[in-house]
Amino acid sequence: MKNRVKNIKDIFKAKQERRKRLAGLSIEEKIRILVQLQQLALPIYCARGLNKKAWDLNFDQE
Amino acid sequence: MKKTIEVVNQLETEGIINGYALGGATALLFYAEPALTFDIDIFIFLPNAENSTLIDLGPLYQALRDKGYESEKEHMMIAGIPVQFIPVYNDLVREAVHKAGLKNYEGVSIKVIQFEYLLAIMVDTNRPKDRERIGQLIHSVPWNQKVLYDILDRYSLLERFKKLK
Repeated sequence: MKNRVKNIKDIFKAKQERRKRLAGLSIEEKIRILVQLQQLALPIYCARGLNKKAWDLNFDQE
Repeated sequence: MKKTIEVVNQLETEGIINGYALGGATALLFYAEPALTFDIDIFIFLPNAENSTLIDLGPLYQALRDKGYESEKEHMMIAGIPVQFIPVYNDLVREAVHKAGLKNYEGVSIKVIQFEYLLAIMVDTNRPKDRERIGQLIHSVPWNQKVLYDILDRYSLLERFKKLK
């Protein structure tokens, strides 16, 4: 039981560390990740009848 | 997003808005891990709106249409990104916009609400998703307790924050 509690604490600690690491990325990299998240989430939103679109970053290249 | 920011900066230069700052989940991206959002919230000061109870977004929307951008429900689609313009609606948001800092995105300057003010606005808004996010943010992003507590205290939000914490 003691080991299990320790493991759970480790899991939460690892999650927090991951958050900190991701927070340290550049804003440009975070925006690219965000667009990937949007693309992954779109089918779920569509299935719920919500009209969402992933951002189109190609405008910045024009 | 670079083009979107350039258009917002242009609106300020042209005097169509009297100041702005990026808020909401997109502003949090400048400080925290990426989290899902589909739009950009821009808090704005409108010309001649300081003492007015009626807010007219018409001139702003018209200026954007003149630039070739279309509205979609409550958003304006600017260079592939839905942007919601929110006139400052209380003293906390007003102060947050005034004290916004300059950040950089791909070489373009953008005014972004400071992290402690974003937290305070979430405490004030107090939706379930805000409460959940505050719990994550305060453990993963460095924040200035003195600054945050001062803001929360002045807007009678400190006790609520301590309960959330």
